[in-house]
Order: sequence, then structure tokens, then C-alpha cells
Amino acid sequence: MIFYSLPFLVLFLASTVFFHLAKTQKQQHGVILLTNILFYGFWDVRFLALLLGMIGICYASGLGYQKNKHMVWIAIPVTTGIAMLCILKYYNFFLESFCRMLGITNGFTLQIILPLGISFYTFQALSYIFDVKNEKIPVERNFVKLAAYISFFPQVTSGPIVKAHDFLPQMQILHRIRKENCYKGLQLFLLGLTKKVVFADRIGVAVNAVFQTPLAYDGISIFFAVIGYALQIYCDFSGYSDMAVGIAAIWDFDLGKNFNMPYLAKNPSDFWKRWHISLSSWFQEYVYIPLGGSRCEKWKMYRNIVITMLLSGLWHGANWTFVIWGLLHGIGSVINKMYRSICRSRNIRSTERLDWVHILLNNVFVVSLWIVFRADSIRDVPLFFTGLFRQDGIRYISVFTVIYTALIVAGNMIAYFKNEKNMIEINLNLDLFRNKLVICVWIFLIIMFAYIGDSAFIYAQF
Amino acid sequence: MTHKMRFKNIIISGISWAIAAAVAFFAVNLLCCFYERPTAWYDTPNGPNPSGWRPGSVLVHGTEGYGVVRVDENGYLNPAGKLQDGYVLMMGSSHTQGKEVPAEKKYSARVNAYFAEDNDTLFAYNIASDGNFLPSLIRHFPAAVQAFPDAAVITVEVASVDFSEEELENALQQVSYVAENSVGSQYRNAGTGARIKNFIKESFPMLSLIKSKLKTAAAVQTKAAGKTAEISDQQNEKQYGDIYNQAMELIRSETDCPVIFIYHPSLKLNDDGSVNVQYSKNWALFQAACSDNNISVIDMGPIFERWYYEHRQLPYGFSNTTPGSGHLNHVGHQLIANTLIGCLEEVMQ
Repeated sequence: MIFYSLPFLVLFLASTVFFHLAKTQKQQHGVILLTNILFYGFWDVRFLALLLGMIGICYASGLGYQKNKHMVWIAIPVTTGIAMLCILKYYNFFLESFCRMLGITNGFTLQIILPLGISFYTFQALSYIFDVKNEKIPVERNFVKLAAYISFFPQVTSGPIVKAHDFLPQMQILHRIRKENCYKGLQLFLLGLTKKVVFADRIGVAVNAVFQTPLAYDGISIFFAVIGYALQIYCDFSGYSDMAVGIAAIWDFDLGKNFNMPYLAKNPSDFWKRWHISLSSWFQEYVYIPLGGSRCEKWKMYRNIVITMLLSGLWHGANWTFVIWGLLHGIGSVINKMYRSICRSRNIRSTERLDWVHILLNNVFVVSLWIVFRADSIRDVPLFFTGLFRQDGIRYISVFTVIYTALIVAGNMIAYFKNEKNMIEINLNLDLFRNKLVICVWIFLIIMFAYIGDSAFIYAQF
Repeated sequence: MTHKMRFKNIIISGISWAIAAAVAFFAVNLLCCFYERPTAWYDTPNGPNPSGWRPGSVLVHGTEGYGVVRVDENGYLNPAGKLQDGYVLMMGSSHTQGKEVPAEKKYSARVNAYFAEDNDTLFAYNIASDGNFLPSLIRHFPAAVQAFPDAAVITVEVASVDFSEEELENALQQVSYVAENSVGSQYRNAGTGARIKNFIKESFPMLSLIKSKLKTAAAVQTKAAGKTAEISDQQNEKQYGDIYNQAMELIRSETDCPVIFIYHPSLKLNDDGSVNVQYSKNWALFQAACSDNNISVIDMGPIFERWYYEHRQLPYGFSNTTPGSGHLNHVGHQLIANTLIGCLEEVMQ
């Protein structure tokens, strides 16, 4: 069930009525959980058991940990979560890689359908366990409440990953459907919808054409396809996040900001503070800092960065392209840290001109790595880099890639100069007629330029 | 706030949303007039083809390529002008219509520009219409010949010759021309209801665009659910050969003038950057049937392929869609025009 479908609209409107009419928090938790079950079960009811099983283990472990503070209660859900990911997401990948390495025939590959959103809800479930262990939140005694959090329908399939200590306290209050929240939520939803169906899906068609047969295209076409992919993945994922945040906002929940002008980042670390913020902060809080973070010897800090980024790459999918992508991001971050350390020691201060050079260089780095991320296999990666210099081939520059690139660059410029490189939030007062008109024109423009076709969310496959 | 006041506020807010939506619709609709504006069309079951556009209307097509074209008095996409003696009648589907390219770049216009005696006469007359594929072309062939009896040469454009036996057999039940059924006649005699319907369709292209998007979305869902009907791979070769032969016999019996089929298969891009011509399964049977009945066939496959290797240009696809897919682009039209010009020069000698 995707957000811009009739079944979702019916489910959401009906649930919103019940949510608003609910008189107690308990009733609201019940409405949330029921909506979550219907939303997730609509895709494939079989995998509901897996989701509920994971929630059950976390719930029971939390209660167990409260009793005797024994680490086994932490180890059980963590092992279960990781094992679930390893079997369902990584089993075939590890096995195939292992067999290829040893040169033996692989006869044990499993035909597995990857459960939708498994990486997202597992990380939310683990966040609850880690937060309980770190005493950031009390153990949750109410199963419905915990289940409503882990399987919260706006973000269960593609994030953002909201940490337990950020979300569970929000469930302590009785939520109301307020006009202001609806206005804000609607605008965020429309922004996300525009990014997804107008920008990402349309650019995606052009990108896929080139990435399917890169040898047929010339360097300029490949260059535009690579730029197009950088925009497609940003619009696709941030579009989903905006829609999820908007839907949650209507129900008076704050899922936080998941993207903040990532292509204005000055260096790889800055990029990860602006790209998929919820995942980056999850890894920072539950992996990087427990490994020692930056409060240790320099080489250890570098090691921690590389390990964290490597895991982050692996989280994205079972393919060497993701592993290499994560590793290269880690190495890039380390090199940048070294460079900044040298700059500090030599007292080189940042100027606006230098800022732009950093942004440009960082974009070259990030966009180049998107090639690794997008390629079907590592063997395909050199084809794109060498293809950038090919003069012979089909010349294909999608007009949509050019127009939307110009619009996104303009948006970034405004954010840079007007809002200190932060995203400008759209929050029009819809009590005013002119703003209602803006919204209506916006909706009709989405209808007019929306791409209708086969266009799954990229991050839903992770 | 009292209950009454709250109710009043809701009503006022509702009205202002409705007005905003209406104003927005008109504004975006205006923009849509320059992006995608279909015009009204008439079904012509006894016409030279199954349908035609409203005479005098302007059609804008921007969702695939970009083209703006005025419909002539017969409901087809031709420039204004008198037919010269011994003209070429061009039948075909949306590829031949060429809505996706500028009017002067479609192959009928290029052929016309090459052969026309002056700027006011037409050498090539394009009567193509959307969805007018091989079965429909066979079915409407007699009506086309009767409607345009002075044609010196008839060209028939086909992108595929693979259709089910049932479709092809039904096509053998050909139709004769009924003048009252023509687009021009229907347009002149249209009632108020039909005129209002046409006016709405042409004035509010947004409605057509929404309808078309909903249709596409439904088709995508059907495809995703694997409900698409597929033509069986197991086909009786002899039976197909017989049907094609009967069809070509019928076509040949309708006219003494040369008939030229223009067959333009698609090209498939391979991983290594090479291309393969995607011939229809029954291409050889179709070609044999044409040859047996003294009907010429131009196979654009090798020409497209050669052009690709020499110039790295594909005959299909646009910068607002994808290369190699969809309708003929200006390269495809140019290649067909060049080939057809050579062929017509030979025929006319």
C-alpha cells in the first residue's frame, strides 16, 4: 500500500476519524496498532508474523531486563534481529560470495522474499532495547504501545528510523487532529509527493535507460545519467520521508528531519549529517559511540568511522556495491578528518569561496560514489567511469533531468543564501485564500507532471 | 465559539477551498493547453480508417516528443493544400501521424516537400490514425481506396505484423466507404450534445490528461498483477500464412495502383552497445504473402540498424521519454522518408 493510492487514502481517513475520536491514550495506541497491521498486512500478511514476533521478543526481553538487568535480555533481541537480517537479507549474498571465493558450486541458495521494511523496523526495535539498556527510557510494559511504535505505519517500510527515546515519550500524551498539524502535514506530504512522482520517477526513467546499457551511450549522456541518479535517489528517498513525516504530523507526531540539503554538505561527515539523518544518528549512537567514537586515539577514531560506514553500506543491501560504497564513504570521511586536522594545525580558516570549493569537491565525491551504489555489480562500475570519457555513442540528455536539476540547484542556492544551508520549511497558513490557491495549483501541477508507471521506492528494497 | 459559528466557518472555508480549486484548475488547464491538448475525434467504422480528429482543431502533444498540428477538413493531420494529380495516399498508425515531431519533420511532410509541385499542393496525403494497426488497415483498405480513388500510390505503415488469428480473420471482413460516415460529414451534422462534448474536451485538456493518467495507472496495475493476456506462442504457421495471403489478395483486388507496405520493427539495445532488430514472429510469412500478391514491402530494420552503427542514433524515442522506445522520432521519420522517396521514384518511372 503506497501513500498515494486509493486504499491508503481510505485507510488513513478512516483511521484518522477513529484516532481523533479516541478518548484515551490507550484507545489511540490501539487505533495506531490496528492501522499499522492493516497497512503492513495489505502488502503481505505472512510477514506480519515476523514483525509481530520481533516486537514480542523486544517486549519480553525488556520486561526480563527490568527484573534482573541481565545482559542476556539484551543479547536475545539483538541476536534475533541481526540473525533475521542475516538470514532474510544477507544469507544468499554471504553464501554466494563464500562459494565464489572458494571456487565451489553453490547449491544452497534460498528463494527468499525480503520482507518489506525489515531493515527499518529491526533498527527501531533494537533502538528500544539499546535505549532501555542505556536507561534513556523506562521499560515499556504496554505491549500495544511498543508495537504501535515499532510498526508505526508512516515509516515502517522506508523510514525515517525514529529512535525509541524520541518516539515513545510522544505516546504519553493524548493526540488531537489539529488544523495547524493538518496544514503542515498536507504541505509536507505534497512536497514529498512532488519529489517522488514528479521528480524522482521521471528522472528515474531516463537514468534507468542509460544504466541498463551504459556501453551504448556517450560520455555526456552518462554524465547526465549520473547527475540524474544523484537527484533521483535524493528525491525518491527524501520524498518518501517527507510524506511519512507529513502523515505523522497530521496525527501530531514528530518524526524529525531526515534530510537537510545534503548536496550543500562541505565534506563526507557533513553529508551524513544531512542525508538519511535518522540512519546516520542511529549508527552514531548505537555503533560509533559504543566503539569509542572520537574520544580516543586518532587511529581508533578512524577505525571507528570506517567500521560504522562499512556497516551502514551493508545495511543498504546485500551486494558488494553497497559494501564498497560504505567503505569508500568511510575512507573519504577519514581523509577529510585528516585534512581538517592539518588545516586546523596550520590555522587555515574557511572562507565563502573555500566553502564553495568544498561543496563542489564533496559533490564530486558523493556523486561518484552513487555510481558504485547504483551499479548492478562491482564489475559494472568501471564501465561508467570510463564511459564518462566516451565520445562515441547515443547522445541522450533527458529534458526532465535538465529542468529538475536546474530547479533543485535553485532550491539549494536559496537554502544556502537565505537559510544558512538549511532546508526552508514550507508552512503556509492555509486560512488565507491565496495560500489555498497555491496548494490547489500545486496539486494540479503534480497531477499534470506526475509520472505514472512502474516506480517502486528505492529505499523500500533496503 | 458556538456550534453555529463553527459550522458557519466550516462552510465558508469549504467554499473558499472550492473556489481556489476551480481557479487553480483553470490556471493549470491553461498551461495544459500548451503541453498536452487532444482534440475531439469521430469514430468512422465505414471510413478510410477507424477514426479522425475534429476538422480545424489544433492538437498539441507534449508528453512524448513535442508537436503542434492543425487538423485538416477531413480530420487528418496534413498541411492545407490541394491534392495534386497522382498523389500518394499514406495509411498507418500513430507512427505515421507523427504527432510527436514537428509537422515538417514527419515522413509524409518530407516526401511531400520532395515531390510536391509547389507549396500549395500536396503530393502525400496522410490519413493515419491512432491504433490503426495491421488488422484495422486491412479492414479499412477498401474504404480508403473508395474515399481517395485518385491516389496513384498507396503506402501502408506497420510496426508489427503479429496479431492473433482471430484479429486477422475479423480484419478480412472489410468495410466499404460510406460518405455520411466520414469525419467531415459527422462534424457538419453533429448535434448540440456532441458539439458541447467536443467543446469540453478541447477546452479542458486537463480532464483528458487526468483520464489518460488513470487509464495508464490501471494498465500498470494490471501488468503488475500479471493479468496481461498474451498471444500464444504456439501458432499454426500454415494458417497464418493463409490469412496473410487472403488479406493481401483482398488488398490487391481493390486497386491497380502500387501498394507499398512500410514495415519498421523496433531495435533492442544490447548490454555491449550493439542493437538487434526485433522482427515480428510472422514477418517472413507476411513478407511472402506480400510478394505473392505483387505488393512491395520496405523493411526498415536493416536501414535503422545501419544508421545506428554509423551515427549512433535510434529511430524511436525522445528527450522527454527514453531512447529506442515509443514512437518514431525525427530520425525514424527521416529514414523512412529517404527510403520511401527512393522507392517512389522507382515506382513512378
